[in-house]
Amino acid sequence: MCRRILQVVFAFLIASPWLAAQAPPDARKGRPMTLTAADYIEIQQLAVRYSYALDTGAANGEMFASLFAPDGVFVSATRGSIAGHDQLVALGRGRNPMYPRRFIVNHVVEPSSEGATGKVYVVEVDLPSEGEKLGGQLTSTGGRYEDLYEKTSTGWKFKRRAFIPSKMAVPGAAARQASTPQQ
Amino acid sequence: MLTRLTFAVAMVAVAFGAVRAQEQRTAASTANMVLTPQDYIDIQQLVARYAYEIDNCTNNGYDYADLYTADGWFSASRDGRVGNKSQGREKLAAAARGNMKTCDEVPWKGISHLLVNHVITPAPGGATGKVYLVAIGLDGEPTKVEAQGHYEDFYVKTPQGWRFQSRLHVLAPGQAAVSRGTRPATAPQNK
Repeated sequence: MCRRILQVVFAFLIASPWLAAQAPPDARKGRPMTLTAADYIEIQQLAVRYSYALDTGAANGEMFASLFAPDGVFVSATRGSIAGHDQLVALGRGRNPMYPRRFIVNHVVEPSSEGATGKVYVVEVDLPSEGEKLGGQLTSTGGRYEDLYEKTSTGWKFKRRAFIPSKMAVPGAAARQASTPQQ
Repeated sequence: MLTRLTFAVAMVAVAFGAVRAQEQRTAASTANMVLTPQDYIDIQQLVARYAYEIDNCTNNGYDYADLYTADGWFSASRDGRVGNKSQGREKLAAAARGNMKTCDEVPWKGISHLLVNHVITPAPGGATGKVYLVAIGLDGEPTKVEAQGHYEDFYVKTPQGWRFQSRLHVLAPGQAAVSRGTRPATAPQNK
């Protein structure tokens, strides 16, 4: 009897990893993925490549499209949803080659059940073309991106990237000096 | 005689052990912490989150306060003089609101804090950091930009992850004030 119990327990211990793997996706859903240091770095690289791809129109827009998962989508208030290889390539062609414009900072990455989410500021600066006058102009068209990242067989990709334009909120009556210094 | 000798040897051994333990504790407390790649990433993430929490003032400032340790503090240095500390969760949340009642009244509302050139250095008990602050959207103008000095930080690893033990906002020498998110009531408009 005791031996039989031990056999059952032993069999259960052997089978438990396999049983866990067979659990339906919904059972695992909601549990954030564990991101390694390399995952964070690759997602950061994906985000900076986006600026280079869109600003330079690299590979005639193919570089930009390659940053998205096969079913990936770019969303903005002005352009709507852009999905599919050809549409993404068209967007990625950009307007001028080697036109540095989008600067990204404050990139927050968080694990999620389907990969990772992220948000990052984008500052847009109109720089003069080479040979023109020095200086540039900070634009009012910046904002932030809100992202879903997916780990594919070819690395981390955008499952979804949404552009949220910045909003200037100016409190009128409350616009008084505070006693604490600005941070 | 033998008992007395044994006792003396034992006492010497205990004293030697105590001295060694103290030496090890001293060495450990003065040695720099070894940071893994994940530690660097987590600290970078902490600093990136800072910008969102101070710009959006969510949860009445408490999301900002939770970036700090329980005894963590923020202060500002103006022209070489360090001001009062906002220390502890309540005071930090109040500081995130600009000491206003609600987040809607924050004086720097509309500003985006850009934190760039983040340097992290291992230190005993944690890590130090410094990072530039560039602010845009000042005085109610979306395209107005200003260099606003830098932060000097001390980070510690807690059971909840890396947190600010302290953050000091340091303006450049001679720079005594910074622009705000709202248009000044009396100052001339920027050209």
